[in-house]
Amino acid sequence: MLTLDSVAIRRGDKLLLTGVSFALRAGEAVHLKAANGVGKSSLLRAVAELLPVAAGSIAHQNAHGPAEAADQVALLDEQPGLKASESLRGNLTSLSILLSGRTPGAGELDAVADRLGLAPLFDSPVRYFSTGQRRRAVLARLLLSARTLWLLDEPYTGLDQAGRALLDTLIAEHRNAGGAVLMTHHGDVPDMSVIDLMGHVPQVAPDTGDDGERW
Amino acid sequence: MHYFANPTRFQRLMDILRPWVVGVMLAMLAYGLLAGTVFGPADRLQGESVRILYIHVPSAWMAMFIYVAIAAASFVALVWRHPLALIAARASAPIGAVFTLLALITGSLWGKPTWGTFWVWDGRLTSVLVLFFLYLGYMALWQALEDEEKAGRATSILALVGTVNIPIIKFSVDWWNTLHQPASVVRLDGPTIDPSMLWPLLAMGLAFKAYYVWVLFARMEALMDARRVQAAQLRAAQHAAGGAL
Amino acid sequence: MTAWWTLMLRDLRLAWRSGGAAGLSLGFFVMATSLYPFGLGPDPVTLASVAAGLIWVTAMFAALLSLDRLFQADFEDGTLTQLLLSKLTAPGIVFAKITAHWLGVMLPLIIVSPLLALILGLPGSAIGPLMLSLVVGTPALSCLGAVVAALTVAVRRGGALMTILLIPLFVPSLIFGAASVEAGLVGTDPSGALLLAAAVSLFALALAPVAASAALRLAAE
Repeated sequence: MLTLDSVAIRRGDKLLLTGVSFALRAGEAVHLKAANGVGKSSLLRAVAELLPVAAGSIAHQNAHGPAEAADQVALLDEQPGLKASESLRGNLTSLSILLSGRTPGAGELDAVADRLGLAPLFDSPVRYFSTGQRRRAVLARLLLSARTLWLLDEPYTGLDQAGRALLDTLIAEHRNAGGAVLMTHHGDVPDMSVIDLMGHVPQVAPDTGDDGERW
Repeated sequence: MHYFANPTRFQRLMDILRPWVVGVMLAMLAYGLLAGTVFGPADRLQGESVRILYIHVPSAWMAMFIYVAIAAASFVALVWRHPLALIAARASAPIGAVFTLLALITGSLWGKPTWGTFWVWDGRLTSVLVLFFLYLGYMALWQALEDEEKAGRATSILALVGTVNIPIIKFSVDWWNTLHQPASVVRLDGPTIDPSMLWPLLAMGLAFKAYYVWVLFARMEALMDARRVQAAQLRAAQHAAGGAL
Repeated sequence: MTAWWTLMLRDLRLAWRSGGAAGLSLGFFVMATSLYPFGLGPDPVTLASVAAGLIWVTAMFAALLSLDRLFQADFEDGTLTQLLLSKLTAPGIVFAKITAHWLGVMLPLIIVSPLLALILGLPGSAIGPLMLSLVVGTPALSCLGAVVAALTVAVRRGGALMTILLIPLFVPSLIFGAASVEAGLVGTDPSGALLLAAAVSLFALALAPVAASAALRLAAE
């Protein structure tokens, strides 16, 4: 589903990560671990093809062969991606059409809102949601986008106990259905292979002088 | 294309070229100024004030030339990610802006005896004014974006958008000018020019070009030095962070 | 409904929500125009002679006012990231946003322009040509505005910067648009200026999706 081959990530002038290689197959999940500022979020954005890699390659495959990131990736990051003045129903309808290209069926959105425990707020503008409710609403994107590869950047942030359990269930269901998950999180996550990115932080090169300098 | 991406190699090239550039500039400046303003003839219609032409016209040429150079360098920077091209584009902008301002000021000083007023909405002057705004926008965008790499690509896109619009702006201003200006106004530089004025003018044009290259080298060096300092500071910060972990 | 229509209609809806760009621009357009007689004096002949140009310049400023937030709101709340991962191509996103801006912000200005023409004393016969010139010329403002809005999306308080970047690019539309109305007033043929205004709009329409989507991808990195 996803293959990274000696990927290097750069932000501005700074090389954050080098030599990141791994593969992710259907049903698998990978938990990326590293300290703050190492470049986990940047790596996820690179997998989503929003950020060009500094070196190496990232390849997406679906059941039929090579695929576009924008056809199989669902990205959940710290930004909500919801319009505050629109109702949850309006937001989810637009998101569903934009991401999956499909108009959701009659009871489909209600079922998703119900699942996330947001049914009573379904017709209220997102502006009135609490932080936790907003984070739950964002999870709806994963369910409605119909994408196979979930990229989750600190997905537990802002969720209460029940919300975290819900997310675990969603992830398990997604994997059983043949999906894959790539996730960053500071704590431990059961049942995922862990990749420690600290081993990929480039060693500080000694000052080689001007003659070896190439930007 | 990437041969001179090494700043040290480019530094050496600049050091070799610099004396020649300065030599050409001084020689052409001497000839142009002497032949143009001391020994050259005054204009039959405009008298001595015509001599400002030797500053005004080359400045206007350079204003245009440098903007096109910025666009070309931006294109190279965007397509081939050539870092020196970006530095050249960035270093050129203030020089171009100063030439544009010089063209505007000399144009309006010349306008006073010719038209009786400092500013006339003449087609050429107006085009140069709009070009000056384009320069200001390009430099303002460099200032506004903090991430230098992103700023480089954003300003490159802006320079290219500006350049494809220049012919349209020029055409619209000329068109507007013929619509509103009475035809009797004396044009700043008529279609015919006497050889005794043409040669000094061309020499001044060449001198201005050499001056541009000279200042460009100096500004590029300054920007490259700033980058080296930044890189060194970054390395030091990384060392410190590495020590703390 | 396709993704393109969904985005376009949502932007249109948001533009007209309270606090959206459309109401603000429309209010600015009407109120700024009604200020001119205080500066120029109430003489109908003076006002009529400059009315078309004033309305065009004010429409331009109203456009500037609204373009500030064209991509910035989407950038700040994370919608831009999701749009780039959507079924739409980046130029498709830009085209949808441009269409929504023109229909949501510029078209209302054009619809109220006869009212402003009347209070500035523009002859009734010039009102048709004025509206036509705005219809033909203002798409260029939305398109070029989208390019600059995308370039300045990450700049905090980028409004003043946008103004500096956009004014030189707006010059041709202003010249041709205002000139076509004037030509109608003095009895010459306005079609040349109108066609030129249309050509500038078409050119901007061809340029904007490519340039703006490159700038948006850069901002979303």
